[in-house]
Amino acid sequence: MEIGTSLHANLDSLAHVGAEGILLGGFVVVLVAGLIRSFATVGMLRALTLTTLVAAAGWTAWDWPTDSMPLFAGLIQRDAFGSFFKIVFCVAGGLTTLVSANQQKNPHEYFLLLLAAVFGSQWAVMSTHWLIVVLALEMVALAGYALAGFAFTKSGAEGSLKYFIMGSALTAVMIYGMSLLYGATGSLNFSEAAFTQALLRAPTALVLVGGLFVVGGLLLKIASVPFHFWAPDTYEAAPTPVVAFFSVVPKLAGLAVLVRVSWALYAGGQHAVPWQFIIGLAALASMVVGNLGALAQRMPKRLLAYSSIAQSGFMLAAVACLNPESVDALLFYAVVFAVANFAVFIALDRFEKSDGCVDIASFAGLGRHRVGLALIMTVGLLSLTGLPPTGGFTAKLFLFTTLWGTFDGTGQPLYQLLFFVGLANTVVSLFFYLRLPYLLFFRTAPQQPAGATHGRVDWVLAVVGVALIALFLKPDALTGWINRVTFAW
Amino acid sequence: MGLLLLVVPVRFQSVFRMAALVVGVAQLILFALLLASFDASQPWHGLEQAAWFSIDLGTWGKLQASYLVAVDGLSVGLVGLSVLVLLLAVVSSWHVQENIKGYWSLLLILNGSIIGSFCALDLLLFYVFFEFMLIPMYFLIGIWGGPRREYASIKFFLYTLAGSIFILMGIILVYLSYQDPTQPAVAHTFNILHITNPLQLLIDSPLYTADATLGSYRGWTFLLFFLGFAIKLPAVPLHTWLPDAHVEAPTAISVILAALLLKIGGYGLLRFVYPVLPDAAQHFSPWVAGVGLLSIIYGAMNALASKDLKRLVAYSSVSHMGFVLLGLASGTSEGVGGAVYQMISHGLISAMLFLLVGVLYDRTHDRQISHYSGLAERMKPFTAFVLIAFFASMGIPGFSGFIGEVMIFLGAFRAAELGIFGLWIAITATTGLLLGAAYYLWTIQRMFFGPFHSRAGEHNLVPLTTREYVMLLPLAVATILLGVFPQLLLHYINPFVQAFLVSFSSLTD
Repeated sequence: MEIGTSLHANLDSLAHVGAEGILLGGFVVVLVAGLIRSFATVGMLRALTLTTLVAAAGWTAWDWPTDSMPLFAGLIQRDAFGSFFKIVFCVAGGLTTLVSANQQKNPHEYFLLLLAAVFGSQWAVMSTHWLIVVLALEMVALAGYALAGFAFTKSGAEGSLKYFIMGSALTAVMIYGMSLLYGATGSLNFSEAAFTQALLRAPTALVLVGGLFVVGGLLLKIASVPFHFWAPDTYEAAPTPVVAFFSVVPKLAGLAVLVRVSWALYAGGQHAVPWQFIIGLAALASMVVGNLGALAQRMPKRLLAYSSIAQSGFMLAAVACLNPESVDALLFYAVVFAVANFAVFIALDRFEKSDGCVDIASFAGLGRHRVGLALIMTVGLLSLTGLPPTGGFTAKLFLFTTLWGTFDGTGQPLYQLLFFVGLANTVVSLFFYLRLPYLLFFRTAPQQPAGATHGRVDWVLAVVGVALIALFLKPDALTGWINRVTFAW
Repeated sequence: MGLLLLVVPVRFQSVFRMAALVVGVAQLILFALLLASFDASQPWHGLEQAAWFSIDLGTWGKLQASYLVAVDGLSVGLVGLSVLVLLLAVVSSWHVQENIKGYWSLLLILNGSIIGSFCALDLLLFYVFFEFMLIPMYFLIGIWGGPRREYASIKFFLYTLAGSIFILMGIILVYLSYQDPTQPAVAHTFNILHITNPLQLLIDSPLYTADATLGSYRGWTFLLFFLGFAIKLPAVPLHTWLPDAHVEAPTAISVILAALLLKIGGYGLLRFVYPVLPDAAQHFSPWVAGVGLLSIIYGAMNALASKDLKRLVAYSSVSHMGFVLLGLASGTSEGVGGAVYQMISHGLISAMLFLLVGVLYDRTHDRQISHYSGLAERMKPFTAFVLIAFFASMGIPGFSGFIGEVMIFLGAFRAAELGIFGLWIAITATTGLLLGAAYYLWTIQRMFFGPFHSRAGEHNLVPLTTREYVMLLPLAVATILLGVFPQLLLHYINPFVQAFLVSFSSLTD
């Protein structure tokens, strides 16, 4: 391509990444504001970050794509699938910002890293090119490594380092896998027809190894078995708002990339490697390991880390279906999971601040003094279990219907297995999800809790809690958006 | 039609027990209005429909559910029972001290979901109400219950949740097999009116098979549903959560549990499992009858061996719900009608029994049968109510229990004649009646006759209060009324049973 036309094409493409532009602009503003002494207050930085995220989400919603369009000569693809996730990321970032009101330590860096992570995830969900996949996911990961250690404690450093070492090793493996796939296909853009054609001609073993490496790297981001070991340690040591962010944004970014990558590798079912089995196996293992692991936990954050591994399993089960219907179920599940996770983590954060809760046992009897807080936490946990009247029930219903529908359509027993194991796991998960509500309400507190100033329900928490119930009563509001997402190449 | 209000009462209120009472009375009035306009020859009353959600699934059409409620001859009796029992539960828990706000809120949520599940005509809506009963029950037993409440509540929750997962699997299978006639080939349906219509069965769907034996989809679906509802009913050997939950639950909650929640198991089977899968139901009917028989005998044996009065009553519930299964399995008009009659009658009687146990427990905090004797001397009205409740539960003529059981036995013997299941099942089941008489009469003899003795002292044994009369009298009157004039209820049940049996007779043709 001639330089002039490619330059023009790239300039045209710039018009379509307005939301990312806003994030970048906001990043610079926060960066500069942090250097000016009079602006560098927590409140100011927080307001700036929040404005940026809201503006970016607003732009994405306003500039909703009706069809898919490759940008920057095929580096990224602008479609409704990506835009949907972008809004979720901005909202998740915004919620994290809202609950980080007393981030007194290094607020400047904190909010910058948060913006950087959202920025990276936005690119990741649009990427159709190995280069952008790596760059975007590494941007998220680097911000993540730093944020994980933001408690500035010894265990925080340990958790962060563990995440960093596993993350960088797996990224190296992923890049190696990409190079193998590049060698096999001669194309870095995995969405173009040439890639698919070359893939079908390439030696199966080469594609299998390359693809496995790439998928493995993505499974790490999702915190799925077998690359889940970092999650409990990292979650336990990081500040709670960061964990809430962590368990949602990088995970969903990884899932979105995995959807695109697995579709490319699957090549409409023509390829010899049964990718649905590989992803389905990871889904099964994540559900079982996550749920069984959670049963034995004493620390709330470790418990939630295992829960998030199990939830990854459920979402991977939707990815393994590899059909357009499953994408709808995945999107719904992802949103509900994000909201429920925030409800639980925000409530957890409040409990930590007001009552100094460290382990699960210290929650005993607090539900009687902090009714609202305990109630919202319970709603969040019920939603993660998948019980009515919460969005979690609707999400699980869509997911299981999709699994059975896929089984019906393909006749592969894998989906039947996922269906039954998933349902069995729902019962198992009740055991540990109910542990906290059980202690909160059934036990009596040893003494009257001291802090009366904290531990109240503020509007953020109330909105999150109401949203979970609303997603049950009126899922149409969300499905309306999802129906506007048509995932296609 | 004020049915919407009937289904979704005020969820959050500030004037707790008054609000609950007002809701209860309002429900009673609404129900009376509904009954006044009820024409038994028409199938559905008070139909209300609103779209709930709809999600586009591309080539698979749409996933949609609606808020669809109505009552018919089957549910009208159960709704009436619920309204009455829930109102009495409000009266009975008038003096709850601890954590009042939580208690009344949970009770009202429970109220809404119970009536909701009896009215729901959308499978998913039914399931949601069904599941939603668990959470308030869990907390009501777990916070306001007896000493082993934590164990009992978690056991209750896990058993019932496991059951609901089976039901959910069944629901998904049914859902995928039926189409919505208003949008053929586009949408599957959860609508009970459509799924009970074989014309809407989709070709090549999981349930589209003539094979209803074990191993086929129809057989599996039936078993999944049966397992789920048998836990709720509860049928032996899935009943072990019940005695624990009953013994630990506060009186009002025991009443609701026995009188209403158990009925939802039978109701679910009658409402859609049998009509959707009549062939599988017929295939498995000897097994269903066998499970029913086992429940009757095993429940009665355990009641005989119980030392705790409340445990005795709980096991008698297991035994009586076994009769419901037996009647259902017979597939005859007498048996099925008897099963419905027995459900309502047992609702009244068990509510009365648990209230009476509560009356005694409130006074002495002691439920051991052996700690009492000669109570008849000191508490005459109380003894009279106990005698009514015991005799009604035994199935003595003149009480509602008699009608239900007689109809079930007529059905069972006719079924044995028709070769649906063995005659020995029907014959052995009659010993259940004998055992019932044995444990009740023995209890009366031990507790009420003989020289007066009470381990808790006699000064506690104050006479019945007005509040207690208000609770017990309506139940006693209703039991006797339904025992003397069964037509009052059969008038509603019969049209339902006739319609119900059409799906069965179409098989044999």
